[in-house]
Amino acid sequence: MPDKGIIAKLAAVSAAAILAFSWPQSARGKPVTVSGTLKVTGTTSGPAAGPCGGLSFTQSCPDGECVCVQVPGATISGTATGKVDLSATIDNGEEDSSAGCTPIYLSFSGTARIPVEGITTESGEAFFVQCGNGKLEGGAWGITTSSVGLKGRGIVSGTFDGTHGKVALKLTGTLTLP
Amino acid sequence: MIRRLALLNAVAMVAVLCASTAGAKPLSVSFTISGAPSISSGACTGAGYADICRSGTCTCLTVESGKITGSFTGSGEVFASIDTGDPGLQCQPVFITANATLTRKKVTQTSVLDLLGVLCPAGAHQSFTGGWGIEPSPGQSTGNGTMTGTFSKTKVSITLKGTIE
Repeated sequence: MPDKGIIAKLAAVSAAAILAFSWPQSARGKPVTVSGTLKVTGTTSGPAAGPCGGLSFTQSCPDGECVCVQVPGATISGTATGKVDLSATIDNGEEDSSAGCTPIYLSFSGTARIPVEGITTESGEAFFVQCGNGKLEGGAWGITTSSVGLKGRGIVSGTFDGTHGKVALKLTGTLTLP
Repeated sequence: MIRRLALLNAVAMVAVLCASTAGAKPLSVSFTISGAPSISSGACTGAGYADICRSGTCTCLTVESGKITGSFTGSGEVFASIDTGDPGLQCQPVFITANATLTRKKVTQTSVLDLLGVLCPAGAHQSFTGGWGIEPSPGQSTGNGTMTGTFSKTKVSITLKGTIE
């Protein structure tokens, strides 16, 4: 007979169904993986010369002509809800611009409420291919550290327009609860 | 160095291609470069844009005799540095240089294209998404657009769509 912990966990998983994501069968001692979408919206700060500090992912500037854009307090909705700070190194090197698009190296850190676990702290990194008007033509994200061991990764679409300040990201992928 | 000089010479030849469209409205193009890949460890070197490897851990994908079909016909070689140094990401950043001989309406030119994208798992193969552009040079027209493609052990296929003006 399942204990109360398992019942509570299953109840929480069922509640998550209202978010329209499919959860696999849960079992004691096994991770729970959810596939879904996170939306991240916010406004960028003015660009500062040079790459961002923080995580090594955003510290380097392969072409030597980078700017750093911050998005403080961006809103997370979807599979999880919360707030996240984004730091993005936009590589405007001469060679990069010839590709018609620009690489963006991004790190994030914030808090999120997720089913079963509640409020957690997460950080990670992302890589975007930013093209005309800030539209993303490809990208990927991943969680690198989590207060509860949450793992997550996937692809990114949407807009990251450092010039006009509009950030509207759609992160599709999986979150795995420990 | 020799390869880079060759690339610069190739860029100069883009002018002829662009002359056919200069002053005219942008020409919409869609063409595909495909061929058999070879893989070596480390970033591509001497390949211009494809030399970029942010993490320092990359592999170099090369297509030596690619076939071009679509708005242009011809052949080309592809150098792609795939940045594998961030395993936390589902997809890997890719920086590509393509030296292409393009033929359109009986006019043949050589162009250097830079491509930027991500390489993501997609079932039995991997998929490219991103953008491309012609390396800039004074007095020459520009061109850019989006790219999609696939990569397997036996074949690389990259489709470029966009405009040249």
